[in-house]
Formats: sequence, structure tokens, C-alpha cells
Amino acid sequence: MAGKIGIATGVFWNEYGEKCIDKLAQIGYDALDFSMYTDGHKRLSIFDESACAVDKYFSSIKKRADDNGVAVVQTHLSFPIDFDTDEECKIIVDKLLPELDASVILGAPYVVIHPSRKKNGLNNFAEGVENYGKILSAVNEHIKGTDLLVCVENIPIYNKYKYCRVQGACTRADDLEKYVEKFGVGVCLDTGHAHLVGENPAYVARKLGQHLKIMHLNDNYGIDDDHIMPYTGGINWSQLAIALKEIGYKGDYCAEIDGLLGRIKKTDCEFMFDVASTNCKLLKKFRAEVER
Amino acid sequence: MKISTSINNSVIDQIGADRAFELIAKSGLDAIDFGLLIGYNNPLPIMSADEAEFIEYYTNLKKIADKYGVEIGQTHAFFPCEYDNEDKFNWLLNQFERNIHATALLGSKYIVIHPANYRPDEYGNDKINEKTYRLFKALIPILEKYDVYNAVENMWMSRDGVIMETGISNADEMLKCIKVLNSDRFVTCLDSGHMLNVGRNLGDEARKLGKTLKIVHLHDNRWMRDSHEIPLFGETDWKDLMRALKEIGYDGNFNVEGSSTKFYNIGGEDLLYEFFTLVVKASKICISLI
Repeated sequence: MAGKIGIATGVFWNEYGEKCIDKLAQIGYDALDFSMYTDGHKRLSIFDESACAVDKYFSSIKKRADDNGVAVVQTHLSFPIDFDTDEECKIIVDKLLPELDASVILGAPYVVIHPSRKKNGLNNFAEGVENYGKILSAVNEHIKGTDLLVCVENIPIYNKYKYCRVQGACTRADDLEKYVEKFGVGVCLDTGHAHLVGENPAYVARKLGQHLKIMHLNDNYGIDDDHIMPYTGGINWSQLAIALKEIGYKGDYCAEIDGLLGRIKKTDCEFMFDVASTNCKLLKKFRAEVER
Repeated sequence: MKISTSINNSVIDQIGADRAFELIAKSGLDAIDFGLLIGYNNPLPIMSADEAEFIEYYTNLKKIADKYGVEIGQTHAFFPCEYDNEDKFNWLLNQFERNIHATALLGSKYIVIHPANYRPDEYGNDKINEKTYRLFKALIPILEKYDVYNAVENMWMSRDGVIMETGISNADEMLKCIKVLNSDRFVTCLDSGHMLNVGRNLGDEARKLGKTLKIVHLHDNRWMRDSHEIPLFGETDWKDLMRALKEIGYDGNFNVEGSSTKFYNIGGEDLLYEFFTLVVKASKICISLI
């Protein structure tokens, strides 16, 4: 069965809420990557309300998605989740748990939890792994008995002394591989992030193989994290398509082009959907290359 | 304000002229900026064909454009324009004679022939501009012969991947160029993306150009790379630019110099048409900002 065509919801949510699902379905999407945050990476305000309100809110979204023939194939928990102390870790975990519950209500099989670092701004792989381990032990306990699988994403960071994207707690294919070995998580390949740190997304895909469960498909020019449409930047999409075919990728094709849509939204919200429509066609082209 | 976009002659040839202009018209575009080249440093074979064939080719293209009601508002000549010996200088003049003649046959008044771009740390701005002035002076009789105007465009140069100003990169240099040439055959073309790349305030530069500004290359980017994105895709302050264009009484087309060739290469006619429709929508949004 062909993978579904999806898009991240965060950039649409403030202005449209669940109505964006109707509009995205109309332009050809049959999947969503549901963001538990919106503009400026601000956590959805529903999580400030009661558990009952959260339940009702996400049940309504699930129904709307079902009515439109759209599946929530992955979710993205809020971030950043960097911490130094166990007390800070607990605050973060307490925020993530209701987002996980929401993911279950939405019927998503996969959830992206970003890597975590110490807040001192230095890049230390061992500390990142330690942090992630603490978060995961609470998260895994909470989702026991559900079908939810946590996926780690490759994330480069800004070093305050440079203005390019550099190594973070989990940035390259080797890092992702170590997280898979240590934690048994799946992988979400962000194609733009790989390109930024000089890794061919095709190489990352081959390295992770069956552990690659979901993607954030986006492009850039190798300078900044532009999150523009696939095929419109510097990534070689044909090579990635070949790699995905080789590893037998059976997942979905979700774009994360919040960067581009966010820039457009500053002037005109509706134009986001015109661009999302073109993006949908590009995703279908990519899927056809993988699945032919 | 008419909405226009750039498209290369080579893409039109690949699709077929009739089909290409049909798509252009269907998308809502009013006009095009006709690229008289295949790509960077890649001249069109028709430019060295015998004159009769050349005239027939471009006369026919104009007929097809007219059939679909598409104006050819401006053209873009071959580039790059750097020359380091007389053979290259003469080759460029011959190429530009054909480009200018094609412009006239296509019914357009304006052509963009780039200034010379060299690294300013290698040559110095004065020496770079001398090369441009010499080349442009030599074009005057040709421009007069075909009643075409050359629009001086603001450019950039890069060193080690970093974009910087070169000989003619801002309004002051563009205006100085026109003054030195002392001919009414020169006007200006504001390239919005290039101005953003070199860190100039777009609105202010447009205001300085005033009545000399006859055509534009409008596109967007995120400062560091000349990516020729559709307007609204990047960091340009479109409201300020539109305000500036209104203040100076700009009466030319809203011409988007986007990446039509890139979209065509990605997905053929279908994606080229997608690109055209996005350009039309983005342009209408920008025009409506003031």
C-alpha cells in the first residue's frame, strides 16, 4: 500500500485550528504530522486546561481528521526539552505526558521527541544521551500498553559562537544509530537537518535501515534551516528515493515546511494553502520515485 | 500593474512555443521576461544562425505571444559579461547585437545586459566599472538601431561563498553608470533579491532610482544566497518596496525573476504551470499591499 502524503500542522493552527484539516484534505493530503506546538514553537494552550478538556479537544480533532479521510500518522511533541537538574527534568516530563496522551487519542503510531541537552550550551553527546534516557524512562512507563513508538529526530543546533548549524546531542547518522541501540527508539529523518550538517539524507536512510520509521521532508541550501519544499533546495531527492527503496521503506511522506509557510503567513495566511498544494504535488512525485 | 515572470527561451523551445504561451496565458500572467539564453554561459544556437532564420524564428515567437495576449515586457541577454581580451569583447558585442535585435523583434523596449562582475579585491571597483562602461558604450549604436533600452541591473560577486558588492551593486553605482554613459539608451532594473543579498535597504534604493527605474527583477531570499524564490517566500519587506515603487511613479510590470527553469526541470509542464500560478498569486498579494 502506498505511503500517505502528510504535512506538519503547527504553522496552520493559530489561525485555522482544526479547520486546517478540511483545507489540507481538499488540496490532496491524506495524512498529518500533528504538532503539539504552534508559531514560535509555543506549546498548544489546550495543555494549560484540564485533562478532560484536553481529551475532548483531541477527540474532536481525531473525528475531524477521520471525517476528512486524513490519518494522523505521527505527532511532534513540544520542545526544547533541555535540562540540567532532575527537578527540571520532571517539569519537562510532566509537560510531555499529556502530549503523549493526545497522540494516543489521535491514533498516531509514532511520536517525535527531540533530543535533550544540558542548558549550558555545550555539545556533549554523553550528557545528551543521559538526559534522553531520563526522559524516556518516564515516557516509556507512561505509554506502556499503547502502540505508540517514540522516534528520535536528527537535530543540529546553533553554537553561539557561529551562525551555522552544528553538532548537537543527536545530529548525525552515527548518533541516531547509537540512540536506536541504547533506547530501542525509532528514527525520524529530517532531511533538511541532515543536509545542513553535510550528510546526504540518502546515507542516513541507508544507515538506519528498518529503524527509519517516519520523516520530516524539507529542503534548504546548506546554509540555514530554511524548511522549504522538497526539490527546491540543494538535496538530491533522487538519491534519497533510491535509498528509501533499498531499505524497503514502507512509511509515510510528511513534509515539515513550517519555515517557508511561516514566512508566507506574515503577509497572507491563505497563500500558505496554495503553496501547500504545490508541496503536495512534490511529495507525490517523491513517493512515486520511491515506490515505482 | 501587469504581472510578469522570467522564462528562458530554451524552456519555451522544449515545451513548444504555442504550448508554452498557452500555459503562460492560462495561469493569469500578463507578460514575460524573455531569457535569451539557455543558462549561465550557455548561448542559444539561434543567436549564431543566419539572419533570415533568426528573424523568422523571433517574428514567429512574437506572433504566438500575441495570439495568447502575452506581452514580452523585457528580455534578459546572455551572461556572464566579463571579458579579459579583445576576442571575448567582440564575441560579447556580436552576441548582444543579436540579443538586442531579438528584443526588438519580440516587441520589447527593454533588455537587461549585465554589468561586468569581478571580485572587488582582485580588480577594484573603478577598474571593474571601466570594463562595464566600455562594453555599454559600444552597445549604444546597436541599441539606437533597434530602438531598445538597456536596463542597468544591480549585481553581486562572491568570494569563498560569501556574497558581496561588486562594481554596480547599488542605486548610486547604477545612477553613476547612466551618467557616465551620457546616453538616453540606458535606464535601470532593480533586482530585489540582489539588493537583499548585499544588505541594502530595498525601498531606499528604489526611491533613489526614481524615474530611471523602468523594469524590475523581483524575487526573494534569506539574505545569504541568491536563491530567486517567489515573493513572500523569503525575508523581503514587500510592503515597503511597493510603497517605494508607488512613490516614484513606477509604471512598469511586476516582473518576478523566479526559478521557472528549476520548476520545469523538477516536474515538466505540470510543475512549471504550478510555478506560474504561485507567481501570479504572490504578485497579486504584493500589489495589494498598498
